[in-house]
Amino acid sequence: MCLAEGGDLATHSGGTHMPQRPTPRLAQASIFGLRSLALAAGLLLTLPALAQPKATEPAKTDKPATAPSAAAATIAPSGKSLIIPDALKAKGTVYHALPGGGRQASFLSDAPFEKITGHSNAILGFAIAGPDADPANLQGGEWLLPINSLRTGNSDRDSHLLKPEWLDAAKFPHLRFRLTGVQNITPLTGVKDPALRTSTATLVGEMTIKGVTKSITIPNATIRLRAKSTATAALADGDLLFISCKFQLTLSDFGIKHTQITGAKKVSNTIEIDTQLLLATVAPEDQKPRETPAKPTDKPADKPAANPASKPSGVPIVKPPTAKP
Amino acid sequence: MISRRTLLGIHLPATIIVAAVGLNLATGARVFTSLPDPDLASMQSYESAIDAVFRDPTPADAKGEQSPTAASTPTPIDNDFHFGWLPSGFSLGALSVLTFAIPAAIALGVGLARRNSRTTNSNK
Repeated sequence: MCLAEGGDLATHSGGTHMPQRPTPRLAQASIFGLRSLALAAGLLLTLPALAQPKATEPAKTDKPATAPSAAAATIAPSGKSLIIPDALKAKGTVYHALPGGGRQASFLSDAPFEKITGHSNAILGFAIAGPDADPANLQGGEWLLPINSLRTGNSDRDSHLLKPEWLDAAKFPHLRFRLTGVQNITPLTGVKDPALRTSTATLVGEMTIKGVTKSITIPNATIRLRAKSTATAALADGDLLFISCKFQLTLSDFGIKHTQITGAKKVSNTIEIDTQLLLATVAPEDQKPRETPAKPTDKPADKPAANPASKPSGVPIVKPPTAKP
Repeated sequence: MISRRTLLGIHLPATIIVAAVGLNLATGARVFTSLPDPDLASMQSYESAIDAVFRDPTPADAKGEQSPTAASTPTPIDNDFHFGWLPSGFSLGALSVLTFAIPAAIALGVGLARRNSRTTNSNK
């Protein structure tokens, strides 16, 4: 063993070391491999740009879009509620939607490539309850969902929803549902809590998305009413009305057609909507400020199953009737 | 003793790839990365309060009438962190398995190519 120049400890069997150059074939293989890797990396790292939705031709629907049957309600100056026409107010007790609190609506897109859920708590609106003997017989209602309030857990996806090829928030900032009637009202008896009046019903109304209005019928909606109490005061002031329903909408019916629906299968053409709407007789502007409820430490039912079924069972598919010319 | 080159060229990139894939599988194997959203967290905090007032006391009664079914069970709000396979944009969503694995795979390839080259030379 001897010391090479520079003090490095080296072992050699004797003689001088000459640096060995790689064989030409091995060098070419290494260079080829590196170039292939670099090319693959370049292609894959451009995926963010490729993932941007590509605009398609404006949808040409065979059937003309129907105009809403009544003028849309206007948003109050506070931005928290809608201005209710006097004719509707006279029909019954007014319940106001409460934006800014709990989740009010959710959507689910279950496509082969990806499952997307989104939620909003910014719905403005109202419902007019029926007479005391039959409060679930809602006399009317209207709700606006601001598209920029939808949250999917991915900020890039949230901003994509606003683009013209999807919901076009710049032209149509809200989704609108106008309730025109309630059918098949069935009060539930034997409910444990006598202060809770629960009925199931079929909601009939008009849905407007991206300027296209379709009549829809939502079966198996649940309408719950509870008079104000210490229990309800934790949520909101006044008597409370809770409307929950699930139904499905077809995006193509509203002129939303995209390669990510038909081609890449990242978005389903059929979207499940889950409405969990809390309303109160006291308007949002008059509600007392409340602290956000403490998040429970254990969430036994909130976490989704590891492998949820791809299609929920028992959810009706709402097919809009043929559009009227 | 592992040389510095082997450590940086092979072990470290391989560890990064395994860690990225493992993180994806551990957080639900989603396509795109999703991060907890404060708005969703706020919505989640109301769920139990609404449950207490409206959703809980609706069992099937003695007369056999059924409680509302699908409409009573709300869509769960999933606000957990999920590490995705693909980058979704140029925000934090760009962090994904591929954004970590691609550079690591390149480094691994270079490290392996150089190792093969040294092995071939030392055999001569």
